[in-house]
Amino acid sequence: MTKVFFIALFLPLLSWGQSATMVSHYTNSAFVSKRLLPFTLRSEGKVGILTVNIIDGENCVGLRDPHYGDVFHLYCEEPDTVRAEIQFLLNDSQSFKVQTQSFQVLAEQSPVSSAGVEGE
Amino acid sequence: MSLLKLCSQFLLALFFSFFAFQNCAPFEAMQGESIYPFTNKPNFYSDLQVVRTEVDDLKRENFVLDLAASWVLDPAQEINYTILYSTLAQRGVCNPTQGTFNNINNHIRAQCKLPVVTDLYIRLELEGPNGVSEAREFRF
Repeated sequence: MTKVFFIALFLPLLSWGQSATMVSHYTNSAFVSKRLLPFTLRSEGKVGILTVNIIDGENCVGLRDPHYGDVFHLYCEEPDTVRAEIQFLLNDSQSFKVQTQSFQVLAEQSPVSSAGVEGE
Repeated sequence: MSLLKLCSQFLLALFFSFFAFQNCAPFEAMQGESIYPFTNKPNFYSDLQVVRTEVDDLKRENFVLDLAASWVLDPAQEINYTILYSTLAQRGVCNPTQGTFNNINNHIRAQCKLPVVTDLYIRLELEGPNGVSEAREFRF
């Protein structure tokens, strides 16, 4: 019993040195509702993403990419402020959790530049 | 008597199976499956939306489009995009929208004005490194 307690306490300590970065695939101006927003999780020794949980953002969902183990997506049906917690697996079989920053998903945002126009 | 017993057992089994096979999967997972648009492993992530449509007094319809796209393996990778516009009756109803996305910007807005109110068919072509390309089609 003591041994189990020790392991449970010790595993999170092992993860303290782990760092991870999340790279957004789209520029911030593209963060609009009804759009799948891809992010790549980069971390040394990472095997793949296990879960994506929404912490803030009742209009939003998170999902792992079915084809790429290091990519997750956030999707907001309505404009919202979203924050997610990502759990991923390390190659030493430990799992680790990181949180995204809180960011705004709006109904519409103008891009930095516009391209192309019309024709009739 | 045995028939009654059999029927009651069947109803009981039906009752329990009704609860046993309820869909208890998280709402999140169900939505996740339906919102992911790529059936095959994509080389690019992309999303094209109609921001708004405007119809003027002459019944011409203006589509305002919003596109974001990136190379899956490296969001900073330069990629070329082309948006081609068609209606059911005619190809090339608007001039193609072309450009390059990079690590600074991969989000643009484009417009296509049609002479009549009708459905707009769009073909989005993306080209990445080593000539890798993909196309997606949309109807608005």
